[in-house]
Amino acid sequence: MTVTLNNAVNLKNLSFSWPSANGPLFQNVNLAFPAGDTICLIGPNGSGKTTLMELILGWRKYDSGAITLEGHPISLIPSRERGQIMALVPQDERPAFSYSVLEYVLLGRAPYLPSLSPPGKHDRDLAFQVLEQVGISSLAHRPVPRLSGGETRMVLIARALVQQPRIMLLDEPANHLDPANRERVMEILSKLKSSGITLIISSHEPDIVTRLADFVVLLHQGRNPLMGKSNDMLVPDKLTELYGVKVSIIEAENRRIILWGK
Amino acid sequence: MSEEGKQHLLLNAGMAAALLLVFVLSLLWGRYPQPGFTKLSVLGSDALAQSLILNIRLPRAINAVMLGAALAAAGMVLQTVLGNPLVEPGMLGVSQGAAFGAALAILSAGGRFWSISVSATFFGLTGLAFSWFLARKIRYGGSILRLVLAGVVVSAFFSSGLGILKYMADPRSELPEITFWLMGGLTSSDWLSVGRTVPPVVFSLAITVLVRWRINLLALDDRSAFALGSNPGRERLLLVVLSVVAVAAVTATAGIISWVGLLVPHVARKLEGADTTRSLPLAIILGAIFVLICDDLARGLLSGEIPLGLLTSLGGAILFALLMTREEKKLKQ
Repeated sequence: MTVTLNNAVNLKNLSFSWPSANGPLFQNVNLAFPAGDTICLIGPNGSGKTTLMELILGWRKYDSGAITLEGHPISLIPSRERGQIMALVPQDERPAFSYSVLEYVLLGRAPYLPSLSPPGKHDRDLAFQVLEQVGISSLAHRPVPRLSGGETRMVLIARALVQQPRIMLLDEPANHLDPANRERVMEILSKLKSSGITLIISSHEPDIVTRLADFVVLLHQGRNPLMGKSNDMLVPDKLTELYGVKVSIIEAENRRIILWGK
Repeated sequence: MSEEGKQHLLLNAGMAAALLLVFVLSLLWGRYPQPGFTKLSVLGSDALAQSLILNIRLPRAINAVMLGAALAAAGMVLQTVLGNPLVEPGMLGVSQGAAFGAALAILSAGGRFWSISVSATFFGLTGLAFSWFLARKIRYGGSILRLVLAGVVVSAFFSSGLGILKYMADPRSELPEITFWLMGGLTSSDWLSVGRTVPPVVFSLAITVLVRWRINLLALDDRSAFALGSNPGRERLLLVVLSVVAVAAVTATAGIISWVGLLVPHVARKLEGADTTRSLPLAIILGAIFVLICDDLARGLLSGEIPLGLLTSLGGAILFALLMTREEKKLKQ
């Protein structure tokens, strides 16, 4: 087994099945995500994108195989350390209580704080800096449950950034957003990409996030994931096979645009 | 210090001072030598008044503070870690279990204080354990919904058991005792009972207050808490057990006191925001003040004792209704 240190995440012979399902969702999957690159997980609804993310996060237990983060088996990394290496941006989150944006973002400091200490000045400064970076510093004292979908997404990204992770998992970051907010998210992600963070992004719409991708993983239902360079994977016949609809691709203004259907 | 920080400090200092004031006034308030506040001039010469304050009012006031603090803190913790603003310590089968245990002790052991106390604590914890194990077996909903559902089932189970015990009880001696215990009160407070409530409550509150910032993580869904380096299952269990230990200890002394655990956390959140770093200490102080005042009314308002649980329910329900309708207005803006 070659454990190369420049792999952020390594999946080795990984198998996973749902307790109630007939067959396994993943069987002997081998994938290596190089550090500093952006990897997009693409596939139709229900193809296992979120599950794969949860496996990488360590949240789900797999049946057999191994997952390593920066060369270390995920199950052996202490939870705090894991929280310093890797952050998750969920698709949506609605807290039951009226936390302010600042309080909510500060929760991202948890992996760095001893059990008995609340965040201090350093943490608050960092939180404000990140809010500035994401462009929501004006929302700092607003209650999270009253934010719009787009604003909530920014808050969740900010909370993950406050974790100062080297690997970021983003679950459908552009989903359910209007074009302006989608572009804001994309802009933030492209800045993160150039800062050297490993980004692992799931999406059921390949059009948007693949603009950033170095690698694309195609998740077929009932078949093993296929990973390759972005340009080799986002081709009409592969996408047609993946989604089961006719796909053609045109290039305009240096971008690949995917046309769905005939 | 920031403007916000100053406000926060001022609010807490003010509330702590208010608690101290209410505590001292509670010692002077009563129906001896005449209804109202005992005058300081009388206190110097009246040995009975001195003894009354030292041996009856002081331990009772201490128990009231413990009771209010424990219920409010448990309410705040349980609401936060179960992500549900309507949870109170009464859910999860704890209160009904304790009530069943107390009734059982009254029937079988003749209602000696220690037997009620031990039996109530034991069945309160049993109620929690049942709820916890049942929740793991339920094949429906998320972990929090399962726990709340299991709590409803276990509570119903114990309350029907309680019904049977009440039916079997001697209507002249045992039934009134059960009924009074269920309505709750601090009449049985003496230094011995203080010795039984203070250690578990102080122990549980001290740990809870020390870890108060991390409680916030459990308000998130479990996966997000996990991604932030928390171990949600273990941390939630620890906090719930700490809360139940404190609640069982005060319930054994005071019986079922409802509404404090539901109402006080809402008021604290309204004043200080959702972050438990600030709202938890405030809830503890407010809970102590609320129960102290209710208990003062319970023992001093009429010539006979009014059950404390009735007053906390009455006061709590009125305050809660006011709070909810004011919130409504705010939302409409």
